[in-house]
Amino acid sequence: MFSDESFDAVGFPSCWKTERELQDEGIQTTVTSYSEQESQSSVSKCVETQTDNVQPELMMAENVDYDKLAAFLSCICPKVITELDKMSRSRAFDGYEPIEDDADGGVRKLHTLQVPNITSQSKMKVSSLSWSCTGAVVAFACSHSEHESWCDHSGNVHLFNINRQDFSDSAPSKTLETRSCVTSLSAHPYEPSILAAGTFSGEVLIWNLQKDDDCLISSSANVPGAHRDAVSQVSWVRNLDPTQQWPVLVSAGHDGRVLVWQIGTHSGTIQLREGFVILLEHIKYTGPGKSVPSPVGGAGIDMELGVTCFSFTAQDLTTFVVGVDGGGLLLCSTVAAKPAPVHSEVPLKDPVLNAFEKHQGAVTCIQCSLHHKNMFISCGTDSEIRIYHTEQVTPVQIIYVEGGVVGLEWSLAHPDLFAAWGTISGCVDFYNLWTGKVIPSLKLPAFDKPTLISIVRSNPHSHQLVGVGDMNGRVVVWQQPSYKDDK
Amino acid sequence: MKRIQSHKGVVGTIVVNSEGIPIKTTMDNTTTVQYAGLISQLSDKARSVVRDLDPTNDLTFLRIRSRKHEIMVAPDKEFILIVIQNPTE
Repeated sequence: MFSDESFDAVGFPSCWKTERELQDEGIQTTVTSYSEQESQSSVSKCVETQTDNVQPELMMAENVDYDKLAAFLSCICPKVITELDKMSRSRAFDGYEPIEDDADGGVRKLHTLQVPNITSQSKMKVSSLSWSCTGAVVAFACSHSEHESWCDHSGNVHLFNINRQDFSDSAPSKTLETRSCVTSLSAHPYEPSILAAGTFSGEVLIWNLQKDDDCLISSSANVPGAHRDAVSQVSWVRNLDPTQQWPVLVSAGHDGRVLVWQIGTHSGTIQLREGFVILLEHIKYTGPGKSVPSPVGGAGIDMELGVTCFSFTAQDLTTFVVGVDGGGLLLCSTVAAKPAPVHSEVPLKDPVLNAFEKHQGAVTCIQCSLHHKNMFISCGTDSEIRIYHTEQVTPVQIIYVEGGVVGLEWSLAHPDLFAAWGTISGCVDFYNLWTGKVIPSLKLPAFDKPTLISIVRSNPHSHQLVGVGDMNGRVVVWQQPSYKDDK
Repeated sequence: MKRIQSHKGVVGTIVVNSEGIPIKTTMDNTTTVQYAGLISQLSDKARSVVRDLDPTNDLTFLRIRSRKHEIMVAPDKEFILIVIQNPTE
């Protein structure tokens, strides 16, 4: 059944492998074309300049009548010689020592101004102080330090003329009365008789002190669009319009409005020129992680943020910095302002451009430097003094002050100095901007009974004089030595 | 003029004409120009003060005592003699 068998080999081509098909294809990139171009800046020019060492040329008079000159000299010489002889024998200047200009010693207390019936009442503070532009009159307002609700006190502004012969430190040369406490005063920058004030009830008042009987010349009380809450600051600002010499008055209030008032040159009529409002939304972008503040103060449903202080930059009058409730610092511009979505009787604009890193507590004071461009200082209830540059969100420097700081003011006498006050010790310290250190020689000591200082203002006319107001209704005028750089 | 110049304590002498242009000087150019211009203005002013107070009066002599110098000015119709003196010497 089984037998050997052999078969022929059978071949077959594999079917899964197909013959590769080959095909030729040619591709050619286009020829890169090179071209050369030469360039050479056209003509060079070299100019040199050299200032001459100017020697004033001695212009000797020509064609002098020498006879007359000789006559003059022979006539005058004996007289001069006798005078010279007399002088060498004279004892007029014996023992005379010229007084050194800079030997003005230390800090001196010149005057203590107080109004008797005020100091007897407690809780009356000097809320504001302003020197007139001539430096002769110091005006200060006494107000109650605590307000629970609406202010129903009558306010007083006292004026002392420290240069007058019959000056007395307990009797003011003039007293102005207001219907509510005065929060801010500002004397006109070059018209000594004009004084502006902002009150707790939101009024902006203008006085002309030359008038004897009724020197209140205008009030914003009946002007539509005026403040509806306490005014926090009034300041005169140079007019942007170069054709108009007369400055404008800027006021800010806790209702979030910053109003620009045009004051009539002669009549003193007050007219609202522009209105700005600071809106709550701006404080939100001051950095993540910080709580969004609850609606502010009595404003409740409103969207506005109360303005506590503001300052215009000296170099660019369209730019200003405001400090708002909750510690925010906002850079604003009067030019770039856009209409604000707020319901009000007058059109208001939203001027905010940018926000700076905010203070932890309320901002109490902002001051733009008069000398350093774009620089401003601020302080708040977080006991910090911050030095900012307007083009930088974060502060350039932070100075922590032991014991708190309420206000700051740039020194008028020296561009690098500023005063800070509000510590418990009752002193006024002067800081150097660059080192951030206190200058001991300028420190104004505390009064006999240490109290908190509420306001400090330098005299615009004689910069050594500084007026300091405290929480007890007293104002002390100090004289400071001039500051010399150690460099 | 030499006699004045040799006097004790005298630093310099300048003679100026009525227009404030120096004629004779014993000091260097810069100082002379400065003194000539400024003192002649001051002496004109002083003279007009004296004359305004009393039109029949006239300024004869002006002495300025400063910290460093004493300047004596002897004005005349056409010339002004300025003597700068160092009082401490």
